Amino acid sequence: MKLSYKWLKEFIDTELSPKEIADKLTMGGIEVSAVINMDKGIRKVITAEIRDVQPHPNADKLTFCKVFNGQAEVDIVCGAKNIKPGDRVPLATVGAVLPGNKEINEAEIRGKKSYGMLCSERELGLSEEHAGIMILPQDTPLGLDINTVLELDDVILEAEPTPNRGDCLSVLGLAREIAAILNLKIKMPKIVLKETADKAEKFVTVEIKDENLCPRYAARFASNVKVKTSPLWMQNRLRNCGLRPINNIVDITNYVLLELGHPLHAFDSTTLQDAKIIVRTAREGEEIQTLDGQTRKLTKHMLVIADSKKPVALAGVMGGELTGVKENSTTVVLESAYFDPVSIRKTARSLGLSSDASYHFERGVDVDNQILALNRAAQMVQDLAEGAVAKGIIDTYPHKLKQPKITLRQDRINKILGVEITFAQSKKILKNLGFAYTENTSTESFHVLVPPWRHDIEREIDLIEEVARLNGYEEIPAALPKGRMVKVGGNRDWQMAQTIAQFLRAAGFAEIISYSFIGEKDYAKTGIDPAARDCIKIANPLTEDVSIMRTSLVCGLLNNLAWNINHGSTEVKIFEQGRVFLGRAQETYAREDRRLALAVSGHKLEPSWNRKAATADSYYLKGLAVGLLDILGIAEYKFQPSTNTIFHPALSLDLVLDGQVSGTLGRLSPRVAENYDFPQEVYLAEFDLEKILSLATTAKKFHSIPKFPGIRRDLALSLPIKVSHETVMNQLRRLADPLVREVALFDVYQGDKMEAGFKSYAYTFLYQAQDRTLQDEEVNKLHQELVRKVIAELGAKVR
Amino acid sequence: MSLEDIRNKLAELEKQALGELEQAVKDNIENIRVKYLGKKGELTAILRGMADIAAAERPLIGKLSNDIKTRLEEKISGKFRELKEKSELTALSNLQVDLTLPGDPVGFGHLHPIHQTIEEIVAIFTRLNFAVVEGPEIETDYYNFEALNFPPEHPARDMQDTFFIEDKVLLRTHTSPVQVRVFEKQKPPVKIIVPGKVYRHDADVSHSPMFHQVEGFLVDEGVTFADLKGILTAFIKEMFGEQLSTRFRPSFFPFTEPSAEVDMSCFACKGAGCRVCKQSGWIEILGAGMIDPAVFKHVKYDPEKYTGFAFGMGVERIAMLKYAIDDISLFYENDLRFLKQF
Ligand SMILES: [Zn+2]
Repeated sequence: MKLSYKWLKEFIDTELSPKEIADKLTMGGIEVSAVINMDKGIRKVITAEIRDVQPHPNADKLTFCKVFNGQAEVDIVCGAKNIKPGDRVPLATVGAVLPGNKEINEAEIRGKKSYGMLCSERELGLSEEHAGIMILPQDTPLGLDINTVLELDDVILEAEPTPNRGDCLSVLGLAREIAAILNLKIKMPKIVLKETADKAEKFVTVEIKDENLCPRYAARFASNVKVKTSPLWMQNRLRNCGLRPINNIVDITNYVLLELGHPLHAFDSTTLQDAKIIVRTAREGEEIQTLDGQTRKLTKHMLVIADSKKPVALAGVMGGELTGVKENSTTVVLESAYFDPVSIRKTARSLGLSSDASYHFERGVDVDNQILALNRAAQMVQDLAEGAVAKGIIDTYPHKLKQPKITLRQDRINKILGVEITFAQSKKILKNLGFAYTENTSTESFHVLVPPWRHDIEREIDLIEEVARLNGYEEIPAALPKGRMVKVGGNRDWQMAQTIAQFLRAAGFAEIISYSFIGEKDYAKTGIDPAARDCIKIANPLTEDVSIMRTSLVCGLLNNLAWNINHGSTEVKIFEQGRVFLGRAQETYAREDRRLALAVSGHKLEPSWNRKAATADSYYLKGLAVGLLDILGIAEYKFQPSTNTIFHPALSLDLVLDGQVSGTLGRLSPRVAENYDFPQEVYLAEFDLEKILSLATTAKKFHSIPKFPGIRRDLALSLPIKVSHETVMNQLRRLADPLVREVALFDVYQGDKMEAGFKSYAYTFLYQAQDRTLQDEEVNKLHQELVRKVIAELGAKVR
Repeated sequence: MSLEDIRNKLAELEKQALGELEQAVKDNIENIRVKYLGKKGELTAILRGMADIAAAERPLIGKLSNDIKTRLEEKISGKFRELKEKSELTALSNLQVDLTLPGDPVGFGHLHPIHQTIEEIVAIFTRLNFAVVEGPEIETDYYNFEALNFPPEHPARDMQDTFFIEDKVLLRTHTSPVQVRVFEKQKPPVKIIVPGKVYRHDADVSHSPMFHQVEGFLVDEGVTFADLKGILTAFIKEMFGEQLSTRFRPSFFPFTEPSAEVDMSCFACKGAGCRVCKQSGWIEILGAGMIDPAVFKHVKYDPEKYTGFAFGMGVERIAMLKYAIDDISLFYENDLRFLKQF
């Protein structure tokens, strides 16, 4: 809402500067986001009259004009077509400065001297209008500085009232607010009407069919109206507040809306069938052509203003094209109504049609102010459009709207705020706000009657806020809660998530955060089976690419990998922790599972001149998974070949926890990789954090450190290729003597030096006793025994 | 020789040996030792002259010569060690290496700046005894709006453009629904901090359709607006710096009343006015207020008995201010050249 400082000063007497007013409003709860000086730096542009317009002898598109500047005629070459002798226009004289520091100098254009320039609205920085020269009203004095003429000495405050403060969407409303803050009196506009002898009812009748949606409808009638341009002062006000002047009647309704905050509408009464105004809901399927030229199909929930035959306006939203005031209209019905905010909002939203009027009605207007606004407009129709205003107001108000009465307790104010505001202070605030009240000094309480413009005040707490706000939040001290100790228990999962993030960070991974929504395209690219998805879709997505709540973190990870590789980062190690959305659930709408996913492409460790670079592989991810489980205190887990189709069939593993597949790791399936055009191998993993976190523990138990030294023995086995390490380990664990405390693989060889069909795995064994130092002979004997059994059981040979 | 002669000779010998030791190089140290202390050395030679000394005085001489011998041995071996270390050091220093070559990179990763900012905020509040709770991201109209006192068809809903899943089901537009979920399950006192993702139907340089908020709330008997001011002032100082001042100004949120916007003095210009603070000297950082009795009514808390406050902040906004990031979409592009800066 743009508030003109000059306009504001018609309502209150204050010497405060625009900036000071802005600060007061902001600290009172109406944020002023900008204070805009209307002075655009225009200098030496004056009002002038066109005396003569001739075609330019050397250019078809130009004219050669004589322009009178109040003292002398000057020659001007001009490119616009819309001027004729007698028009009053802004003339940038030689040496003038236009917005953007553009200087105007004497010039010769196609052989004709031009001593200045005629300006369009755009050249003056007033609007985007540049089709022609700006034509000023006929009564504009000549030779005056355009800054004065157009009131560019005004300052505009860009006020942003919160949605509950519909009452602050006008000069009057903001003036009232400032008056309450500064303890000032409001000056209301004086309205002098010279009504004709004929009663308004003679010309038009009003009937409200739906009192709930339209509790009050007031109208006035004027004849002999002359539709023409508004006087400059009105145009200036509108323009400074961001509106385009149209004609006096439209401008009057806009002016009154800006000033008093009540939307008005003007009908040409001759277009109303049977001179009737009926406020009713639309018939299903009924149509109306609105002012914007569009034909709108209506439903039975929408309120319309109709004549005896057809809807003539969408009540409170927009007028009808056919019944609006035109250039040649002479009889005008002015409407000032009160419409139900919810109904207006529903209508505006369902038609996708929002107007200044609907914006005000949705936020609630002042049912008493309705008459003031109507009279103010009528007076202007009389003064600015030569209208003859008929006697009286057609005021249909079947049931007076009730204002809430609220009890306000002084001790409650202080209990909520934690301050010591006195009863007297509260009283003064209520008074300054213009609230009617009765007081009870013994109980220190008030009975407050909420004024009709304050739709946001219904309860005691609303009044407490008023007291807090006008007393000043800065008056409330900063304390620290003295409350009881609270049991803190919910942080375990949060801490675990931090642990996981720190673990992966230490392992060189960068954390990403991707959108929770993905698209069909992602499913196509990853080849996730459409039948297997129980996915949740967004009804109104920004685009189709972000229309499905993700069921896996892999899509985001792969898209990001592609982005980074395409942007020159070929060493990529990324991870994400976040939720996936897996169909319906009980307590919440969707099952929202936490997942962890990671992707690697490039080397395990950042390559360096000083170490051998090793490319990432499935073993790298397996190691990370084991490390992660270890750090989370999970000792029981298993890996098994995976059938997850996003992964390479031979190079991927499922993590099994508690008998459930709880994640997969390995190389990205080459078929999927192709869809992303990855130029390098990609490894990835996704884990179910719900499962992992449910098993995670920080509990640890100490095992005593062996007191006696152990003895190591190594064994290199030549094994048939199909025998797995796991099989070997299981056998070794089974066959080894209890004195074997550790078995570990330390070397793998497969290649030329091996017999075809065989590979070599080398293991190291630690023999150690709890109660004595083992001797070589004893260990040798045990180890030889083990070797013998292993050979027999595994078909292995000793290398 | 008299006793006096021997004494003099011994002193002379010690002086001479020390002098020679001073000049010694590593290789002739052994020679010096042999020359003075060896079996055929000079000390032995002097002691041979003891034959003339009275038997009673001999032990005296013996002690004298032993002392000299001990002292010299110590000096000789000390000198030997010194020379040996020196030559070893020379040998080590002469190794031809280029230590200007880069060290092995540790290859540490990076946590997302949004994550880091959330963690920093949450850590401050957990130190103040707030417990972390997270809630669902897909919410119902009831939790996201209705129970938070957003009536249907109220213009306040325009503040939060919403993604819908179906009628009355939506992506939460703020973390505040968690208040209602917690109140439903727990009686006061409650003291909770809620970090999480939220969604709005909006995208430009300062808006992302998905972003993060941290919400906090405290409900108990006797909680006041003054307490809210205290907690948030403490938070802002801890998060952004002791020297920053804060400003509370009235605002509107359907689920709090009285409501406040909380500004902190601009860290970039110290309040003088600059581009960061849009010339105002203040930066809007938090929304807050006393929890509206209408919210308590939905969860059957007695508003006459309990009062509480709630506050919320946009993490992206804070991170953008903190790290001077000018485009919100950088957070979701996840370009490694961006992430590696954090
Ligand atoms: Zn600043």
